[in-house]
Amino acid sequence: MEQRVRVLLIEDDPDYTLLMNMYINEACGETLRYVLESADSLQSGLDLLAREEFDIVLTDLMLPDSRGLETLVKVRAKAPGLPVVVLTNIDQEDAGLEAIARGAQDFLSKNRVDGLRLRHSIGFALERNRLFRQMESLVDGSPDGMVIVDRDGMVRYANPAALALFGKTKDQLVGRLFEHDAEPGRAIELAISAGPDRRLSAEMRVAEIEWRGYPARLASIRDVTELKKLEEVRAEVRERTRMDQMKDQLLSTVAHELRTPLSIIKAVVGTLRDHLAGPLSADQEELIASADRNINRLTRLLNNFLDLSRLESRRARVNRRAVDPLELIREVTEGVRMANRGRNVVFLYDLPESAPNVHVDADMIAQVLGNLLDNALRYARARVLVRVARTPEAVEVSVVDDGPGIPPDKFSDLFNKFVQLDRPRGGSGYKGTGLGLAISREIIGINDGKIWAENASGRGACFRFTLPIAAASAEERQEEPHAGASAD
Amino acid sequence: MPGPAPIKKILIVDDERDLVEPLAMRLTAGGRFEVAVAFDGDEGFRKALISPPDLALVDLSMPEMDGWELCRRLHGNPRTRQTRVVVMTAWVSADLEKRALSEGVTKVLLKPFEDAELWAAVSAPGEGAPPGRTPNRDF
Repeated sequence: MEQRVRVLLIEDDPDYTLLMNMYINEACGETLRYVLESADSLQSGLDLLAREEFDIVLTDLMLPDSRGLETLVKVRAKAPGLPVVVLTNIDQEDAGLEAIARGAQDFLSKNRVDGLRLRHSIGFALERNRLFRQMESLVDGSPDGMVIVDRDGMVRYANPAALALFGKTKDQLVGRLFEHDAEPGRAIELAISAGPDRRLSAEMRVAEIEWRGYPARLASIRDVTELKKLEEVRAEVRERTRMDQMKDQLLSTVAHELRTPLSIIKAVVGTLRDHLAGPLSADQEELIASADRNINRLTRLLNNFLDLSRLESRRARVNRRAVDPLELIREVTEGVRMANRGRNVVFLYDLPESAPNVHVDADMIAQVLGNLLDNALRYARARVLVRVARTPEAVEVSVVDDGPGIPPDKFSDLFNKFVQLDRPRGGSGYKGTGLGLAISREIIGINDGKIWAENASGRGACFRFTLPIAAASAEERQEEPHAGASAD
Repeated sequence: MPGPAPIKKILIVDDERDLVEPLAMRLTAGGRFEVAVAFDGDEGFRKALISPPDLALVDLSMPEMDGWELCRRLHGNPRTRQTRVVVMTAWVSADLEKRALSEGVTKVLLKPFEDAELWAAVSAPGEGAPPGRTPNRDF
């Protein structure tokens, strides 16, 4: 395949131009074909560069309209990236070397040129330029910022990533003092303010290099803003987890430590209450009964504390299996009804003939229903209704009382810890722990259900929760112990 | 294998003296049980050897010899091999029931416990302990 090399020759001596034309075309018929165009002044050369494409420029340094290295500078400014070979007179060898140092790829002594040397120089210049461009593209394309700082601390070079990182133009960075200490050694962190509200974190590593023959430093700068944010979030999560564990541990220890003295008080008061230590007066009976009630209340509070702490930290053992919801609901409700026979409250059922099995931990759901029934009893005037309905994926259980209902502003935090409604008919004596609904929410969540509250039409509060219907396979597994999911 | 004998003699072992006294009073009342008490594992073991109880009500966390160790010694000695052991503890842990089972413990009572739970624990199977409320469930 033939390859064309388009050469621009800027030379004011027409005879020399002819000579060069001759030299360059000696090689016709080879794989390389040279196309030479010439200009007799710098200006006409620059005009040609603007109009046409070239692969290389050969230029005399001494032109009618430009003399010396100035010529090179102007050509390179017009066509950055294009290789330039300068032509020098016999006494201009130093100028040739200087030209190379200033960016020319090569120089040729005009009176020593022959065809081979000319073509050799062109080929060499093209290849040298290609290598240079390749290196440049590596540096320019690098996603990390690269800055070269000379020994005076002046920035000599900055790649596009560095400009972007510092939010500066080339002129604002190159040729000025570098603002950071570019000391070789360990990576250091830079806080960069790259704009009015753009603050970046960067990591800088510095290496000793040579730049244009002088010792210099290469600072390689990586934007770590995102990484740092991520790390901060991770650290925060770790810290929060640690604090949570400490809180759980503390709560658990306190609750357990309280149990021993509580068990003693309970036993002592029980002994007195049951007249095991002698008969009591009516006043004493009353006082002891009050102590006894409040011991039970404290016990419930402690147990609820422990339950909630286990549920929240997902340490609760969950044993889910296929459960008949109607049987479970009847059993729990009857238990509560029997325990409250003295109360003037009627328990009503609204249950379907049958319901599909649900996939839940039966003991946990019994606790939830017990909580809701206790709640309903506290506020009910005359009746508590337990209703079961079937939805496509779930069995929905409702506990409805005929009390004063829930004030609209209380709905949002009803299920939060230690929230208790101050509803007017709240019975005396029995006081809740403020944890029942929070526990219920955790339990229903663990069992893949939903729980919410609304006001019943007419009056009273209605608490509803759903239980997921067991898949057929889950029902078959019913026989196996511990077939359910475990949260541990 | 002899069937479950009716429980007559109970030994309470707990370093919490304030709890031992009302427990003893409750179990003694009604005359159904003979109750002996001890305030540490060592004393409990010695008393058990002198007069082997039908049932030992043992606190788990005691200094020197804890409840598990006392249980092992009782079951390891021919004189007290038949003694049923009920343990009491204020500390719930995930593997408590499992451990109790593997140590040959009849029942775990979680402090504070209800009278009904106590009666159920000190009754031999089939003796018909008075029904009580379900103990608080621990997860």
